[in-house]
Amino acid sequence: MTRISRRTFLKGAAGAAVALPLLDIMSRRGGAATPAFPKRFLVWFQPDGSIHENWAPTGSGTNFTLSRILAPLAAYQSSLVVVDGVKNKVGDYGEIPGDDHQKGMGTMLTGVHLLPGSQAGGCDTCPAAGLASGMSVDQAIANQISANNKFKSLELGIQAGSSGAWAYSNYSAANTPLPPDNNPHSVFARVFTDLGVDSAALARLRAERKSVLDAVSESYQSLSAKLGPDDKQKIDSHFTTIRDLEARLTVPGATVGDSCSKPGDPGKLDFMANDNFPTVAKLQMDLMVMALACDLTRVGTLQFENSVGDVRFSWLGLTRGHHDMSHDGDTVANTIEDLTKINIWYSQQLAYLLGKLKAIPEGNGTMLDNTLVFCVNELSRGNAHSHNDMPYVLAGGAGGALQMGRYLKFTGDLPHNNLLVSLMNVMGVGAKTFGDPAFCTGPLAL
Amino acid sequence: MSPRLHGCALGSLALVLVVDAGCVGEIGASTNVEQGLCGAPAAIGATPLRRLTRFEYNATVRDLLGDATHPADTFPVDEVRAGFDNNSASLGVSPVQTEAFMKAAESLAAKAMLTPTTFVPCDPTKLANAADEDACATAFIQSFGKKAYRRPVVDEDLTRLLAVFHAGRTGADFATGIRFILETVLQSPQFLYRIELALPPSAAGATLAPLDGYEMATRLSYLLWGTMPDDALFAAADAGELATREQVRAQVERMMLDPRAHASVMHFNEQWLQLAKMEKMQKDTKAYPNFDMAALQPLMQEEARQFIDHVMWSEGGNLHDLLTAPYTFVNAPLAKYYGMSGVTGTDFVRVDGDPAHRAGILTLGGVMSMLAHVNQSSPVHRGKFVREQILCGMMPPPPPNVPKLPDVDPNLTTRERLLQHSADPACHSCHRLMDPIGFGFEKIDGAGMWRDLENGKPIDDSGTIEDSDVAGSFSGPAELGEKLSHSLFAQKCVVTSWFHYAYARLESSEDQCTIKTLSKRFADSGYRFSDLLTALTETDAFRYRSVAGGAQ
Repeated sequence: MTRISRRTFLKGAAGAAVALPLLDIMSRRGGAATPAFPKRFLVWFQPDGSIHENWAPTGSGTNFTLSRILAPLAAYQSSLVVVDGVKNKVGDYGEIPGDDHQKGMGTMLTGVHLLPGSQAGGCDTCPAAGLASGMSVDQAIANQISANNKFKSLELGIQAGSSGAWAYSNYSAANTPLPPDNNPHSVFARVFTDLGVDSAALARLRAERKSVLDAVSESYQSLSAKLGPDDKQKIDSHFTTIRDLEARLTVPGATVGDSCSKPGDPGKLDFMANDNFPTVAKLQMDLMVMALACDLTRVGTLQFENSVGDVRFSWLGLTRGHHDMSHDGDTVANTIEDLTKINIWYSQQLAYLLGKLKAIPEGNGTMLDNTLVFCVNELSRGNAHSHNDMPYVLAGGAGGALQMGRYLKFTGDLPHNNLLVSLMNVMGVGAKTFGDPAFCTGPLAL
Repeated sequence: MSPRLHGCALGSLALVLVVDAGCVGEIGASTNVEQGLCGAPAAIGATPLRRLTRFEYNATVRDLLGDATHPADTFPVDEVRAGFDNNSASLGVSPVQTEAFMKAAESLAAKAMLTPTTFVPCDPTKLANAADEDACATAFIQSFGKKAYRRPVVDEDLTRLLAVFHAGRTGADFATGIRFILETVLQSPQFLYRIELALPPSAAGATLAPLDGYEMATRLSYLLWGTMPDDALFAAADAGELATREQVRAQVERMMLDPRAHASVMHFNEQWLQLAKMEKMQKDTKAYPNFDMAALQPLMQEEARQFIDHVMWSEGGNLHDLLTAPYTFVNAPLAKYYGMSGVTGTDFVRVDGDPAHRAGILTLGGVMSMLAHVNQSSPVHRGKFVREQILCGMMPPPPPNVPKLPDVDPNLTTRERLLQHSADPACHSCHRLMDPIGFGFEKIDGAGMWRDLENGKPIDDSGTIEDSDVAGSFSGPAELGEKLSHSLFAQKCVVTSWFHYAYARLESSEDQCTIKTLSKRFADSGYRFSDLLTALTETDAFRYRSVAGGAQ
């Protein structure tokens, strides 16, 4: 039986104008056609590099065996594309601001260099870094596939700390990061509070917000005209976020039913306490999955730690911080093994996320089939601070736009900007290049 | 320009403290806006528009609305630049931030309207008709709006806010209309930003402009108190009594006696001295069986706060005290942990320690513990802290591919093991700047306790400072603190750190006069913090705004 939560999608997005004809076609054909569920895009970030020899699968193409690090994903092997051999070239380019962590982080999703700034990095010669100089790929995708949802995108952190180029995955524009929210309670309050509220009260609240935000917007516009260029840019940027917020007021959000239900309030907990890391991770993943299931957004990021993240994986019996350990040479006893354990733990968390996505039926398949999870890291190997052979994993199904269940080992020193272009294409966003064109030669042959 | 030294080649970087007496003019000698403190025409770096930080938002709504619930604690964290959360160039607004402003405004407005007569200058139950209501709403906009916008409302504000009032009033009641006004005001740029546009540039083509009384009142209140102006500052601005240096100084003297000044100065110190690290520290109970984290960590934080507060505000409290004071502040449970006798009760009291064992803030239990590993001390972290926070140098993180470290003998002391490690030339270039400073603290273990032996061997706590104006050897923490307190690097570090915090920006070449003025005033006072704070309100950087890239 076809279980399309039709109500959710008709009501859940002003983009129904796009979705509706497809749904109509489907109902006429009695569900025989490809289900018209929206595609979703998730970014998964974990820091400090991987251990390639314990990460890379053996075999090739559709015939491959997962490595120790990826073994926890065995149940989802047919939903993975492991992308090996691609290099973050723009992040590896020497003469731009930032150390290897900063550059890896800031370029990972943007494909553009960092701006000069004040944050001195960890090398003797690299110029101090500012933030990234352009939009990240998740936002480029969100602008197209999630523009009419209640939230264009959701950035959730799991102890994503610090600030500056080390800290941010997502950018809406140059120098404009989208800081992740580390607090499950506030994520819940922001995303789900309105869900299931009685419609009369919600209508009143929307009318009130519209009146107030109209007046607020006017005062930003009026002020903007009196300012010099730098301050004007700041106020205009703020104004844009208000207009965006106002525009989204008319998006009714989801209706509880089918797979969409209001989650419980995670409540207050010390979400930055080291040992709460696994608890917070699970809460944030649960909230993200439900936000997708309710079609409150179609694009999200789960950012674990930040580049140079130094969480102590005490629940694995480790006493040193993640980043601290990642600097050890290969011959240091236990370190490679301990870092492998950390990466295995991360794969277990990813398996949990994929399981949650798979548990939500959509048409003849599940939400996992309609989602693409892009797993990234700011480095390839921590102690080398390298950006070649980046440990990219794609998971899900992208709504059938990508053949899954493959291990792709690229050669020829291809830039990761090419992968970003391919991801846009897989998500239905037409693009031939992304990021700095000097580091992009077109889509990667996925 | 980066405020930090970069890389490990510190020796080649000249951090010269220029105290040129000839530069500093007579304070208050001139009201000519063109005339800077240094004799030459005044010049200052760009002064970008400042957004309220979370810290400032919390204090402002406390003083504006009586709401002490710290609503901004749930806002996205303010971007930290050069160590502080208020850098005006860095504080942007994300969609999440804008939404948080909206939710906070709604919540604050709703709470305020539980007791409308506290805010509205009329009795809402005795409004006979629409004209009465409009009159009351207008009076409210003028009184509340002035406080919230930190200047009298202009016609444009009044028109806009009255329209919002009517939008809320229609179909509901008077109180709803007022609530709409509150929500609008709390999201307006006049509330969320520190707008300085009142006076034109001092001359055609000039790159700076003076401030009017309201702008000066606002600069004073946010610098000294981290919050909006109080009634006395508004009254002084109304009366045009914030125009001369004498008038400003009179307000500064008054404001320094207010408890709110302690909070703002503490907010500086907590960031400068990275005290938040104490909240993240963890200890291995096998290594430190007496260290009860849940009980001791908050007490150690309070100890550091009490110590800093005492040094900052006690008569003559200066840099020397901060880095050398032999006393601390403990209560009974903390004294028991440290093995100090004679302290009873939960209140913190001053206890004098062995002067040879103590170096002010540096040797406090919490600071030594946060600069340590879970199960051992860390001369590296301690030396790095001194190098970066006290001397304003910048140490890079370790390089890629740290080579295999030599096998260590567990019977060695931490110092002996580290000496083995830093014998490697690749490590030595940076570690020579940190470890030999950190060795001076080796008689304080990773949980803040004094010790004379490690692994049964006597501890050597002699050390050296390299690449500094106070380069040379020392023995133990007290000698180290004494040396540091006389370092021009440390003195300059305090001045530049305060510059960054007080003016919410990095210094630029145009700020040389301001930096020199501050440095001289700090030096002349014997490096007293209260004098530096006062001096910060009298510089060109504080008295003017730039018009180049920011405000027109």
